Amino acid sequence: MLRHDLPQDVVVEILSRLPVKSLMRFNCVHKSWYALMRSHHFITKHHKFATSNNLGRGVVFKYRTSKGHLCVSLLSNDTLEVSRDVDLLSLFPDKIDGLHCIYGPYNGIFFLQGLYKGENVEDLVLWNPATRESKVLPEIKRSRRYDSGKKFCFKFGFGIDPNTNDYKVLRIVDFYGRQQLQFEVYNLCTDSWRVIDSSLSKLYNIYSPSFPSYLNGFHHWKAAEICMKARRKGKLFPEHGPTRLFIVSFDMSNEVFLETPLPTVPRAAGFIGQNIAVINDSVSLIVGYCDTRNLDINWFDIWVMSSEIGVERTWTKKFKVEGSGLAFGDRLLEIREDGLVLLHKNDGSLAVYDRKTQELRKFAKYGNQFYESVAVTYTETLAFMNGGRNLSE
Amino acid sequence: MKFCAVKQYFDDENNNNITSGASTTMIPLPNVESHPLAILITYCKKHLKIKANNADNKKETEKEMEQYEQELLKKVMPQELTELILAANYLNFKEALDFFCRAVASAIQNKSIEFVRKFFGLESDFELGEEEKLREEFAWSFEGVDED
Repeated sequence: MLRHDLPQDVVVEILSRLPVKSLMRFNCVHKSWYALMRSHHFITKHHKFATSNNLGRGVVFKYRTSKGHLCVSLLSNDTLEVSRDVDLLSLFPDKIDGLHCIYGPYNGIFFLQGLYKGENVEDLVLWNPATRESKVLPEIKRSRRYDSGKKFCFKFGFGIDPNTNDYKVLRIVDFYGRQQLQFEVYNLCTDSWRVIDSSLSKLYNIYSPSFPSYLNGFHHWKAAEICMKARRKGKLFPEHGPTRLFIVSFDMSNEVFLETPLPTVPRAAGFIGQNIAVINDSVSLIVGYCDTRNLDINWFDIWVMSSEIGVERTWTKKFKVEGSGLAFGDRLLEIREDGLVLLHKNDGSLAVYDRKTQELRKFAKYGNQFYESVAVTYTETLAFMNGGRNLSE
Repeated sequence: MKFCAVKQYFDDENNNNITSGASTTMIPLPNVESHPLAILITYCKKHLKIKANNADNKKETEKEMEQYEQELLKKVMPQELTELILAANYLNFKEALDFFCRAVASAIQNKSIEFVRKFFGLESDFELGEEEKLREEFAWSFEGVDED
């Protein structure tokens, strides 16, 4: 069919415009194509093209059926219909019946933490939904500090170190306020964990993220300050009283923390809760309200944190999500560009609400929004986590 | 000037202080045949016209351009696409190159390995059994592929 051979850079232009499914199949076309798809340059070019042209987008949707059964599905970004259900058994080495958190995506890669019978298990997985590749993280060698019989739990953060472009996972060991938090970092390039020295200036209760929380080299968490008051026999007990909330941010490159107070949000008229989320390239705080006199009136205030380097971080109330489209019991899943909001309605249907026109579009029903459901939009990527297989010479 | 290679030619001319009128200068384009060149010129003119008509409205420009591009694709044979790509690449005509690459990508995205090899003039260079291993590993990506 070809009269002249297409130059290599033109072939690259064509291939970088293909969806990941096609590229995975075309791995078999030629060794040079197999190698091309594992080159950092091509992976970046392909992802950049998809991102700027709104291609290869999907939604990872975690929800529970009315009977409480866990489901994770990939939905089409446009129709919110299921493209395929994710078989969690194929991702995790052990049986899990819950996903504690979905971290990410960063450039189309997710970090998942499995739960079994409500307990944290050591099953941590890096996952690329587009290539269907997953990588189980190695077990963390328990250090003797943890085996002192103290109770603890884990929180995580996920993103990349912008200086090395390496994927990193931060593990926070939380001793429920009895002692300072401890930290370990996993690097994909070394496929190993190491303890880091970093510390925080206060004792905190760190909240696991409810929304994507990584941006530009930093991962963020909502944290409540624990004030310890000395009691008798020298034992410290946490003080009761209004908790001061902070945003704790981990610098993935320098492996240090920043701590900034959250804004004092109005609480009088039916405050429900607040969560940190990265929305449209800003670190934001979503504050939910429900009018106590009229449960049909629900709204969210969105605050945005300033992000200039070297300047003190401050919060500004940016906009409100309100209107008849929001009902009592609705779960806010995602705030998208162009003023669109993704909701899991109180009747179980997914809906897109346009906060500018106040138009509400309902889609298919998925389980029960009463259980915590999570939806995250991602753009497909080719990134391989297992280093690509070496073909025999 | 969209045909960057040609623009370069004019720039070089000006630098050499040749004062012949632009309309009478003949620019040699040895690597482009007349048929693809004609299509590219039409594409370029159309693009500029649509842009002028919808001066401030970027969305309208995009929409009209898309409609024109769909019509154009119906008239162009798949084999011609590669010639158009080569021409656009040589002339350094970025918008047309992007469009035709997208068109080829769209045409091959659901095709089989064999089709794609034929299209690009490639032959398998995998060892015995390697290709089969890959086909097994990525079996899911073979679902829904067009018949050859």
